[in-house]
Amino acid sequence: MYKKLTTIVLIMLFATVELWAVTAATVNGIEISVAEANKALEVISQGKQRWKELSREEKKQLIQMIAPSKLVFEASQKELSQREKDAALSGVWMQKSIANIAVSDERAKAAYEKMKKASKAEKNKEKIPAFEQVKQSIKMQLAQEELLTKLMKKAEIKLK
Amino acid sequence: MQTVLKNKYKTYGNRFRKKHMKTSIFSVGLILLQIHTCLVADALKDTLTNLLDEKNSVDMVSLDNLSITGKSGSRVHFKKRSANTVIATVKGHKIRKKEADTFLKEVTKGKVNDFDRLSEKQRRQVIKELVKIYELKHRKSRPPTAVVATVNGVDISKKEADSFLSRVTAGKVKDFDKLDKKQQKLLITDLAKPIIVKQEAYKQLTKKEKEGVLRQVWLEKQKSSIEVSSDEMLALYEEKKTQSLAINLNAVIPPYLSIGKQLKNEIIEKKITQKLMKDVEIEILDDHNQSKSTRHTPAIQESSSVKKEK
Repeated sequence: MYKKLTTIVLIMLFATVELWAVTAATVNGIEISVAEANKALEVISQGKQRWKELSREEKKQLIQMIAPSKLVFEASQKELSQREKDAALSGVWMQKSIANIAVSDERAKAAYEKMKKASKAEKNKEKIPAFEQVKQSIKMQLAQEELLTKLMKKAEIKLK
Repeated sequence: MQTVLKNKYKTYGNRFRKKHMKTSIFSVGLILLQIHTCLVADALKDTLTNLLDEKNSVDMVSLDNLSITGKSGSRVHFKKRSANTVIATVKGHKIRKKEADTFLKEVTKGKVNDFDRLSEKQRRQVIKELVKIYELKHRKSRPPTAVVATVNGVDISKKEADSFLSRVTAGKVKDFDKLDKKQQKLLITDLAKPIIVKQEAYKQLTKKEKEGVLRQVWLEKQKSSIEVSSDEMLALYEEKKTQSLAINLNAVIPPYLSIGKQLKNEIIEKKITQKLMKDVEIEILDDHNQSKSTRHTPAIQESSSVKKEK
């Protein structure tokens, strides 16, 4: 009984994977799966149509609608330099991570006062903006510092 | 009458004396205040001078017990030697007094320029620093391809370290191998930050997120390079206006200037799509897996477009 059940589950699993992997069309050699086509159709036809029910002309029209998004990704992969990709991904990850770090108003205020004091000590003639004006950027800066400190603690740096 | 006059003069005399006394007290007060101010100012000046001296002596050589201003502290008795006197030798290289004097002058900002005025302890410290400088100066630099450090298993070449060093020192120091170990470690720690952030980004962002970010960056890059003329914007505005009025004669048409940005973005997106879809090859795979190739032709061809070589 157990064996039979396992076999059925495995067959169902393979069938699902196969269905997901069926290619509906290719755009400049990039594959668009039936699942992707159906997902787009669901939005366009509000769930009324499926890929297999479309005529060849309708299928072509649908793929033409999906194609730009696929081509943009292909172009981004080809045309962006590694440095640009790294910078973009690092920036987004940093922003995402910083958003999860809470910095209290008190901590931000303390940092602000410290900066103000340092500015005065340096006899800086520039006008220091009010705390409320710079609160958010100070909080972001503190969160970034916290994140980097945490990362650097885990890092393995070896001099040769 | 005489008594009256006498009394009157007495009153005037008292008044004068009182007035004079008031002036005297005021003058004495002013003088005292001035003396006090001078004393306070002197004390303040001394404090500031001491503070400055303390600050200046922190760098590399401790100048404790050394009287710079000659006002306080115990004076060190010294015997002045000639500038060419050898004060130390490193691997056969002679360090002369003039080198120590120059070094001292530099770190004390000109306040101390005679090595012989230092105490034994301070002299040792200066020599130690000079030996360090000599060794760093004569240390052989590694080739640019040499790995100078690893950050989470990622190799950092000397070229990368040199370039970073040059950037942070505004071109003043360019050779990583001329730094001491502590400075090297500090520099590599700074250099490591973006590397570690990048590693985390690739590790933690999902495939979908990564694709989305790269799409966005590519689109932004395209947008900044595409130019839109006011004629194009006006043409699109007129087209939209005609369309709206065709559906509803009473439709409210917003003024051209209020939707300028929107029109521009629409034209840019259209141009990007046209560029992407130019000569694109679409292949529809039917149910029986028979494929038929179609070539998509965009509605409006760009006059200056050149077929991309494959």
